Amino acid sequence: MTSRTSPAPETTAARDRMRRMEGRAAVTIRAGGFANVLVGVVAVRDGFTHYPAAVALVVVVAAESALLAVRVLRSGPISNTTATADLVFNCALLMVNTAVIRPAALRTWAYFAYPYALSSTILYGLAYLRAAAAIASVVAEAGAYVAACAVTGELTGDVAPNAISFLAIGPLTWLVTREVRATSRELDRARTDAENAAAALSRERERAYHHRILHDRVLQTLELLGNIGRGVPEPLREHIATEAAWLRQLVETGTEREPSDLLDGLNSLAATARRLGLRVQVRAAQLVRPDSPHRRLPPESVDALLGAAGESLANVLKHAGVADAVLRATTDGTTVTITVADAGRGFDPAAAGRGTGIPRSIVERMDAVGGSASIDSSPDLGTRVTLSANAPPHPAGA
Amino acid sequence: MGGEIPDSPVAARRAGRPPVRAAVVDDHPVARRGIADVLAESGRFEIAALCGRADELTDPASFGLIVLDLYLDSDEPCLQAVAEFAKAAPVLVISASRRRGDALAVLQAGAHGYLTKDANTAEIVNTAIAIADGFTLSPDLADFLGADLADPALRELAALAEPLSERQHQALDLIAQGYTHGQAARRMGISVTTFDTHIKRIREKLRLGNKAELTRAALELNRLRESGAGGPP
Repeated sequence: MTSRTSPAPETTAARDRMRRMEGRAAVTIRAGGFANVLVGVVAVRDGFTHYPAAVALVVVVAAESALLAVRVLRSGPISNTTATADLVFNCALLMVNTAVIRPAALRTWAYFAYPYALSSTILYGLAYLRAAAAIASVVAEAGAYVAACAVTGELTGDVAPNAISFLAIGPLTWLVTREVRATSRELDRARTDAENAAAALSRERERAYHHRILHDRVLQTLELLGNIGRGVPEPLREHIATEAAWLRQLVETGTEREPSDLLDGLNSLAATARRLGLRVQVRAAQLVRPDSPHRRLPPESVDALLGAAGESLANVLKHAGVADAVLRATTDGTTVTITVADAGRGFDPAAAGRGTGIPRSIVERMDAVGGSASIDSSPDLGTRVTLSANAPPHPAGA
Repeated sequence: MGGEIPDSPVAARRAGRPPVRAAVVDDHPVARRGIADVLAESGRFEIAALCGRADELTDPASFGLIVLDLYLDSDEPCLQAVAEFAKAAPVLVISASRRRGDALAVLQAGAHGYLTKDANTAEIVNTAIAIADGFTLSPDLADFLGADLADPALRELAALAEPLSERQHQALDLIAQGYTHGQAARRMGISVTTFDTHIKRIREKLRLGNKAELTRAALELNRLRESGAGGPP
């Protein structure tokens, strides 16, 4: 029940799926684009001026398509560099294609560069991460198309709508891709959070279960024996009480006590004082929390607090003339404060001679660890020694 | 340990008075017996009733002190019983486990004292005497309240209409440090009446904070902690 597991690494399932989808989309688009090329070269043979050259161009296009497909299948979605190389190839293709066809065939399937380049804009929408790059790529293709038409002398009325087709698809794909990617990231984050929460819940359940069975059965019995056990020999009773205190800490906070735990120390100070005839009540409800700052106190601060508290209790025994004292521990989240209070005879600090004020050793001890000690007493009102030590902040990442 | 406490400031005031009729309600027979013995041996109490269930205790007004186990054979605190008994007599709640919000919840239900079962003989006797004697807030309850009030989640859930003032926190601290009202008042440089008023105001403020809300919140927090209760053994 004391095991601490670090949070699970963030899951990437949704993002992985998105990457696979992008890769498949790229290959499919390229296959579709190449099918357009094939249709052009087979169906519209009379549109070409140099048919063998056209066939050679198709072979080059096939090689480029194959290269891109292999790259995508091997290393996932298209990188910016690959996309840019493809863009340059397509722009060149838009120009070169015009060289092997008759000008009038520019608006037939013989100009296969057009559908091929047009479908590629989807790839750029998928590949480029920056909106500017996605837009620039389609503008470049549209520009290459217009230039090709101009060179051929075919700047007719349908060039503008044809060019605009380039501009729409890429940016739209980019927008949709960006949204889906963000959604998959959020999905992954939510799933990771859910997994961590489930793990924490199951740890808490286990702890709570131990808490319940130990608290309500074993611990209760042990504490009864240890604290008010009738007929249990004194040394055995004290031993049982100590063990019960250890178990209580374990079930209440889920952590075992450190060897130099402050609470443990306060309880043993109280036990020692009780043996000497001073009934000491330990009240430390504020420290019984898993995140209590007293767990972060350096050992020397714990020693100083316990030493100073012990000395204060000895003073109660010597001077106060009472049989009861209270050891109280409180915290404001960073400072741990121990008060040693008695309702005994007290003294007037202003009139106090040597040996009755707060012993210098107590002050020096607390000073040495950067803490503080103060006393507050007056005749008939008892004495209260206040000891404070600061806990270092939470270690980063803890 | 235990037995006479001649020099306890609270006990001293009781000396010479007839023993207080006390009832002990605890589902755990050994605990019931043990607490009863400790109280009886102090000489200040006469054990007039020993019950395993809250509904077995009749005529609560006839007792000068009712000691009540908060978790009577159940995972839910018996706040109803606390509230009912507290109308008739001072109630000292004893709980096997201290859970977040318990102190606030029992105070809201009207209890005067709260101890966990790791309390030793002297603590039980001193607290019992103190509240039978008119203390409306036992030192341990003051300490536990301090812890509950320092818990941000609980503070939020308690929805206090008005937070405790600096002086009221000081008063709570002095009670937790074991001072009597008289000593605490003089330590704060105020009259006992004013100090009593502080304690009364603390109780009022904490009880006024949406009671149903806090009781529910405390139950929920406990249920959360105990969410493994239905799990496989």
